[in-house]
Parts: sequence; C-alpha cells; structure tokens
Amino acid sequence: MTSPVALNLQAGDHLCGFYYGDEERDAMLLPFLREGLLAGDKCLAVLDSTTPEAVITHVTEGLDADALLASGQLELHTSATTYLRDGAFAPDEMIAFWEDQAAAGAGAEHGFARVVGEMSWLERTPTARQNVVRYESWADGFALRFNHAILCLYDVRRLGSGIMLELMRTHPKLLLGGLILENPHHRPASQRATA
Amino acid sequence: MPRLVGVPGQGRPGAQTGRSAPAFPFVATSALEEQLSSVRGLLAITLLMMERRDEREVLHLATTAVSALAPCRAAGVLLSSGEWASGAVIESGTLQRLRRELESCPAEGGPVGLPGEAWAWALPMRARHDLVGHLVVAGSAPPGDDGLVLLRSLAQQTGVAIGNARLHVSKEVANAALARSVAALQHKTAIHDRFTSVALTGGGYQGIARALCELTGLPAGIEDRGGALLAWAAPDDTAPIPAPRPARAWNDLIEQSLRAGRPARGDGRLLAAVRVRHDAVGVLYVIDPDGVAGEDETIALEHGSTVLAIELARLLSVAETELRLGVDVLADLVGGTGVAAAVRRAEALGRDLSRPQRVVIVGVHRSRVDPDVLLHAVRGAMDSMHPPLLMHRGETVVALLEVRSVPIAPASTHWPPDCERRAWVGRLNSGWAESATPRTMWRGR
Repeated sequence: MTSPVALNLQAGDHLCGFYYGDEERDAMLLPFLREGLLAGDKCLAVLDSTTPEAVITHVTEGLDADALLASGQLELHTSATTYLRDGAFAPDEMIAFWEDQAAAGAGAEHGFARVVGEMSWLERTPTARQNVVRYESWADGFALRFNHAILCLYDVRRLGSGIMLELMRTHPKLLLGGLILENPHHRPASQRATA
Repeated sequence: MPRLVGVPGQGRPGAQTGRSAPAFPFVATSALEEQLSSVRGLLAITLLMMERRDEREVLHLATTAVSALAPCRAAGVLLSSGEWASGAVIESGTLQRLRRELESCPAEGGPVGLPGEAWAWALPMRARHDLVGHLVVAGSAPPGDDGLVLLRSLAQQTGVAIGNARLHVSKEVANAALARSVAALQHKTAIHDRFTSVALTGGGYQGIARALCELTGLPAGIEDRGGALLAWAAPDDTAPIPAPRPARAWNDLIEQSLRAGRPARGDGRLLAAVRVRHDAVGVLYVIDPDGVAGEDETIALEHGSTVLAIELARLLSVAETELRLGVDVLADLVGGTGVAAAVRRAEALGRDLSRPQRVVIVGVHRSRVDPDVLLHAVRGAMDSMHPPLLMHRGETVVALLEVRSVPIAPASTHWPPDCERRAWVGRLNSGWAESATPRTMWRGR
C-alpha cells in the first residue's frame, strides 16, 4: 500500500485530492477518516469505488465500530444514494443533502466534521462540467460556514488528467499525493460567474 | 490493430470502457489567468507523471490532459520503437505513412497527415538525449501559439517521465538481479561455512552427512566404493533403507559422476563420487526420488563431496603414515638396532612395547606368493580394533601384536595356500631368545 498521506486539514479547508488508482485513494481516504475518529471528530463520507464495509474495517481497527456507527460519529454513504440518487448528478439536491447533514449535526457533540466526497462516479455518469465546478465552488463556502474540513477525491486513472486542469482553475488549493498545490491565479466563484 | 488508450472518452490503460469521460472546456477567464492556471496545471500533471512507474500510465495522463490544455485532442502516441502505444485505432497504412513522416519530422515537431483531421501535429517526446516518441494531436483547427506551447511542454515532460519510468524499471530489474545474486552468494557462503565447520571440528563422515541433510532437507548418506554405508542422516531420523541396486548400474552412475566432474542422478538419488588420488573411494548422495533437488542442493552436494574428499585423503594419509611407522618400528626391533627410537615411534602409534608382545611370522611353503597379497591377507585376518604392526621380510610378513590381541583367525578365507604362521612371545629388553618358544600356531592347507 502507498504510504498514508498526512493531510493536516483544518476547519474551513476544502481540498480536491487527486490520485491514481485505488491504492493511492486509500492512502488519502483512510488516514483522513481514522485520524478524525481518533480525535473525536464527526466523519462523514460518500463512497463510490470502495464499499462502506471495506472502509469501516480499516478505519475502525482497534475501535468499537458498532458504537461509532450507532453514535453517528462515523457515517458512510454511497454515491448511489447521494450523488446519483435520481440516476444523474443534480448539484442542487446534493448541496441540499450536505446542508441537511450539517444542520442536523450542528448541535451535536462533534463540533468539527471531516467530510469526504468521492467523485469516481463521474466516469460512469458524465455530467456537465459547470455542474461539477459549481458544486465544488459551493463546497468552499460550506466548509467555512460549518467548521468542516472537506476532501473531494478524484481518481485521474478513471477520469483522466483533464479534470485536474479544470479544477486547478477553479480551486485555490489542490492535493496531489502528499503535496498541496496552491494556485495564486485562482478566481473566486463570484468573479467567474461574471466572467 | 492499435487501440485507443488513455484518450478522454476512450477509457484508460487496462480498462477500456468505451464511455465518454466528462468534458471540461475552458472557463472564460482572462487570457493571462487562463494561461498561468494552465501552466500550473501542467506542473501538477508533470508531478503526477513523474511518480508513475508504468509508462502506459504516463501516456494516459499525458493524452487525457491534451484537450484541457488546448482546443484539440490527443490522436495517440507513436513510440520510437514504431509502436502506436496510446491512441485511437489507426489503419496500418496510415500508421506506416505516419512512421515515414516522423522519420523526417523536425526536432521541434511538425505537421503530420491524419485521415479526417483538418489539423494534426507531432510533438517530440525526449528523455535526455533519446527520442522516446511523438505525441500526435489533432483538431479542426490549429490551437494557436499559446496552446501549442503548452502542448509542446506537455510532450517534453511526458518524454522525461517515460525516461524516468524506464529508468526505474531498469533499476528494479538490476536490483532484482542483484538481490538474486546476493541471495545465491549468501546461500553458498552458508553451505561453505557449514561444511568448513564440519571439517574443522572433525565431524567425519557423520558430520558431513548431517550437514548435507540439514542444508538440503533431504536424507543424505555416504557409502564406500563397494556400497557399504559409512554414514547416514535424515530429517526425521528415519533409518536408511537400502535400495535394490544392480552393482553394474551403481558403478556406471559413479563413473558418470567422475567423468562429468559433478553430481549425477540415478537410483532415486543425486550423488557425487569422490576420488582420492586416482581412485573413487566414496560416494556422497541425497535421496531424491522425486527429483526435487535443484541448483542449491547440487551446490551443497558438491561442497560436501569436496569436504568428503579431504576427509578421505586425510584418513588415507594417516593410515599410510601409521603403516610406515609400523614398518620402521618392526625393522628396528627385528634388526636389534634403535630400540629406544622404536619404543618412541610405537608410542606415537599407541603401542606400549613394555607390555608382552607376540611376534608372528607368516610365510608360504613351496610356492611363491605376491608379498602384497600376503600382507593384505595378514592385515585382514587381524583384529581391526587392535591393528598389528606389519612389515615384509623376505617372502614373509612379520607382525607384532600385543599378547592380549585376538589371535589370527584360523578360518580366514583370505589366506594364500600353504600359509604357515609361527609365533614367538617375549618381552622387550628381557631378551627375545630367552623367553621365546617357537611354535607353529596354525598351518594352512
């Protein structure tokens, strides 16, 4: 397995993580969730290329998985019940899903939440690029509003490297393996909307 | 027919999906911001490509980036080997034409012809001094100078990444070969150390057989030239089971090993015949009816046979030395000269001449016999635990035995005909003539 990636995300951070293949996916995904569980953070993930069972097995090793799931500290969903609930990606519905989740957890004991959205479903269900860009731009503000750390995962083995170039233009920071790439030429969504 | 690999909408290496990937055209930002963002994106792709160890993955990353860098697409990659490695299906005639065009293509790249494409361009991919191949891009119109610069940079970085991946592969191959060599050397060293330990500690036949057994995991044995078992060791301490063995086949196997100078296989064994001077005097083997013994076991057998040869040579040398010393002792005693020196030499042989000794002279009446045959017969008839001192004297053999020694076996079948033995018993320094009473102990046929 590829060495785990130390992300050190803070509240309000939103990173698009790019990796090549399942092994590198696990190197980003699993430590991010496990560190959160060990720190007492709420961990919420939407998975696509891996299963909740596989993730639970790895991130709860030595912990009481049933208790973590029952308390809601660990909450895992699949793309079929979220991103593709209606068969195609509808950004407004997905945004509503996250907003509802955040609102429901606002008064809970876990003040800080780690949120993961795996985007591998784009390979099977192509969608208009403006939908993805709009969704990712919304996530910037969402992370700040709810004190969340958000990690969006893109597999360039599945999706090709072109998507990385697109998101480089629309995001201030990208995560590439263990390296965070900043884009000083990034334009906020408000400016892009008027462009 | 070459297939498209790694081009947007055409799948990825190892997973030809045939589905269209999402299209991500440019966001309408200012031209400068656009260009700078693209350069940073190219940097990100370069970082990803440099981490790949599989050059197909590098090509996948490169070809899927083209349409996001410029308003065109990747038609494919033509490697310097002539392989159409990462591109759409292409007719063989088109491919041959493309190869010919690229042979005369400028170093910085240039236009090429692709059927159905209004514009197509070959971008060289270089790794240091080598041309790796060309990234071929195509579109309905030229992408403009800025786009072409980005694409040229992408091709350059791709060439470096491929060179990097190949370097890693060659390094891994070299490391694997080195690791195998080191492992083989360590194994040989372990074999050498094990048998050296046997030799240094005087492990003898049994030590050699045990070491061979432990190193190979197979039952091991040592036999003399005649097939008598000298030592045996088995992983589960099972007793040796002698296999029915035609003498001729066994001898042929030994000869085969001696001629080849290496172990021979037969009779369910892998054996090495050991030669000391000019004679085959021993056989070292592992029991291997299933033929599982390989290179490592053969090496162990060869090392073991070397140590066995040394051991046999040592034993032979000791026997010869003892024989020669015995002759000297007897010569001194019979001649009545150098008695004190004879006593010291006898002590070196473990003989106490202050004890009563019996002198036996064995000769043959009426007919001549080969002295060596007679000597051999006498030695064979004596108690092997208390070997006598022997010497030729004329046509007789003189033997000196301690009185407590077991007498010559009268029923020996090795005696030459008409063999007669006479014995005198006496004590050194008290005078042989005074106390000796000549007697005929036994007369042969």
